[in-house]
Amino acid sequence: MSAAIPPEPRFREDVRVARAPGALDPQEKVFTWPHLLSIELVAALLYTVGLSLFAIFVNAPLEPMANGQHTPNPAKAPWYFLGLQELLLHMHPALAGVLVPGAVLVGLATIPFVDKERKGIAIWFSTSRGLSISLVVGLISAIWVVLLVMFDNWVGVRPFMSPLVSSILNSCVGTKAAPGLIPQGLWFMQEECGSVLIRHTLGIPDAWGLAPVWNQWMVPIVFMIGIPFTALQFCGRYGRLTVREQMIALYAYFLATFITLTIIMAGFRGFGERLYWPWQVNPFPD
Amino acid sequence: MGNGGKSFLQRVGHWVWESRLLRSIYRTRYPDNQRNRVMVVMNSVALHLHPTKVSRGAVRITYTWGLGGLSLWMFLLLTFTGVLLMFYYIPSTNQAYQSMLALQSSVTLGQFLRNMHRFAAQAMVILVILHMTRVFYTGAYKPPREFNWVVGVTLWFLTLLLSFTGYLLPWDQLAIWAITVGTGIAGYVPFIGKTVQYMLLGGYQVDQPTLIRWYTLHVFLLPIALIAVMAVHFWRIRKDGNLSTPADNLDDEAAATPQVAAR
Ligand code: HEM
Repeated sequence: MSAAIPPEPRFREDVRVARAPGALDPQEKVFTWPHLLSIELVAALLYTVGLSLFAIFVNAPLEPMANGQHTPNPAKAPWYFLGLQELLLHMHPALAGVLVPGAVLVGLATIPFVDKERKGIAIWFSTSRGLSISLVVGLISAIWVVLLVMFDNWVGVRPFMSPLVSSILNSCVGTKAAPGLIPQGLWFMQEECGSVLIRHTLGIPDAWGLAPVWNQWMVPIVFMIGIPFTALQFCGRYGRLTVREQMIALYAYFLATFITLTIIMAGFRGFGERLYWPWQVNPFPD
Repeated sequence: MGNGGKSFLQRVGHWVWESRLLRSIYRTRYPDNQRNRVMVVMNSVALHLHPTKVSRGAVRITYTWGLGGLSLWMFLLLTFTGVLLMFYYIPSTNQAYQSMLALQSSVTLGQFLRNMHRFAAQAMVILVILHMTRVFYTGAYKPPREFNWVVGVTLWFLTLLLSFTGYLLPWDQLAIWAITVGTGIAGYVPFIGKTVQYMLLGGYQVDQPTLIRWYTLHVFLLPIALIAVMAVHFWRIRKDGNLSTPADNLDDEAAATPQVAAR
C-alpha cells in the first residue's frame, strides 16, 4: 500500500508544462463551429440512437394497478433512493432519511468554500496522488459498508447490550435470565427495560424516549464520521494531505458508500428486506 | 465538371443556400470562413449559449465527456416525450392506470414513447451524477466557479425530485408503494415532518389528492424550476470565464491569498 500513495503531493500542472513537444496546446482557442458543435452533434446522435435501441428492445415496467390494501414485500424505492432505503434499516429514520441526505447536499455545496485554493484546476484528480487516494478511500469505505451491513444484519448492537440488560431484567422482572439467553423476539423488551433503568438512574423523564438513542443514533453516527476520519488518517500517514486531497478522499467516501448501499438494497434484499443472493431477489415482488 | 466549373450538386447547393427563405432564417452564410464561424454562433438563439471560440483543452472529449450537454439533451428529450405523454395520460386514480395500458396497446409507438421517457429519466439522473463527479475530479468547482457548483447541487436535487414525482404517475403497485415509503421518510423531519408529509400527500395516504399534486409538480412546477436554475447555470458558465482550463490555476503566491487574486 505504501507504494500506492506517493509521499509528496505534486500538482499535475507541473507535469502539464513538460508536455511532449509537438503536442497541442490545451489553452489554444479554436472555433466553436466546427470544433465543439461537431462533437456535440455526434455525441447527441450516438447517445440518442443507443437510448432508442434500448427503448425498442426493453419495456418500461408496469406492475398491476395500485392497491392500497396489498403491500408488496419488499416495497422498494426508485434505484437512486435505494441507498437511503438501506440506511433506513440501520438507524433512526430521521437520521437516515433526513439528516444524512441533508448533510450530503450541504456538504457537497460547501466543498468549494473549503477548498478554495486555485490549484489543480482542469487537471483530472489534480495531484499526482489524487487517483490513488480516491481508489484507496473508495475501497476502504465500500469494505466498511459491506461489513457493517452484514454485522447489523446477523449480529447487531443488541447482543452487546444484553449482558447489561439481562442483569436489569433480573432486578426489575425477577427472571433468572443468563446473558444471551433472552429470546430473540424480546429484544425490544431488553431495550425498553435497559432504557428504563438508565432513565431512572439519570432522572430523565420517560417522555424523552431514550430507548433507541444508542443503537439508532450513537452507533451509526460514530461509524459515519469515524470511517472517513480514519480513512483520512490512513492516507495522511503517507504524507500530509492538501485540502484538495482531503476533499477527494471525502468525495470517494460519498461515492463508494452511495454505490455500495444501492447495490446491497437493489440486489441483495428480498422478502422482508432480509439479505439474499441476487438470484433469489425478485425485482418486482407481489 | 463543365458549366463554369460548377457541378449539378453545387448548383443545387447554391440555390438552396442563397435562397431568400434560408437567408431570412439564417442570416449567416455557411460557416466556411472565420468571420462566418463567429457569426453563426452569435446569431443563433440555440448556439449563442456557446462562446464563439473555446479552448482546445475544454473540448477534449476526455475532459468533460459531454456529460453536462447530454444531461441537457436528456431534459429536452424528456420535455418532448413528456408533452406527447400528456396527450394520453389522465391524472385520476380511476383512469391513470387504464390510460397507461391504452397507451401501450393502442397508441402508435405508445409503448416506445413511454419507454423513451422512462429510460431517458433514469439516464438523466445517472448523467447528472456523472457530470457532478467529472466537475469534482477536475477541480472545476474551485473559484471562480464555486457558485455554479452550488447551482449544480440544486440541479441535482431538482432532477431527483422530477424523477421521483414522475414515479407515481403510472399508478401501479411500484408507484404508490415507493411513494408511500418516500413520503413516510418526510414524516421524520424534525418538528415539521408531519405537516410536510400531509402537504405532500394531500391527506393521510397516497390517493387522488396526492396524484394531482405530484402530477402538477411533475409537469409544471419542477420543470419550470429546473429550466430557471439551468438558465442560471449556463449563464454562469459564460460569466465564470467559460469552461475551466489550466489557465485558471494561480502560482504559489497568488494562490495563497485568494482574495488578492483577480477574479
Ligand atoms: C440538470 C443538470 C445539469 C445540466 C443540464 C448541466 C449542464 C452543464 C453543461 C452543459 C456544462 C458545460 C460543460 C460540461 O458539459 O461539463 C456544465 C458545466 C458545469 N457544471 Fe453542470 N449541469 C447540471 C448539473 C450540475 C451539477 C449537479 C453540478 C455540480 C454539483 C454542476 C456543476 C457544473 C460546473 C461547476 C460546471 C463548470 C465546469 C467547468 O468549468 O469545467 N452541474 N454543466
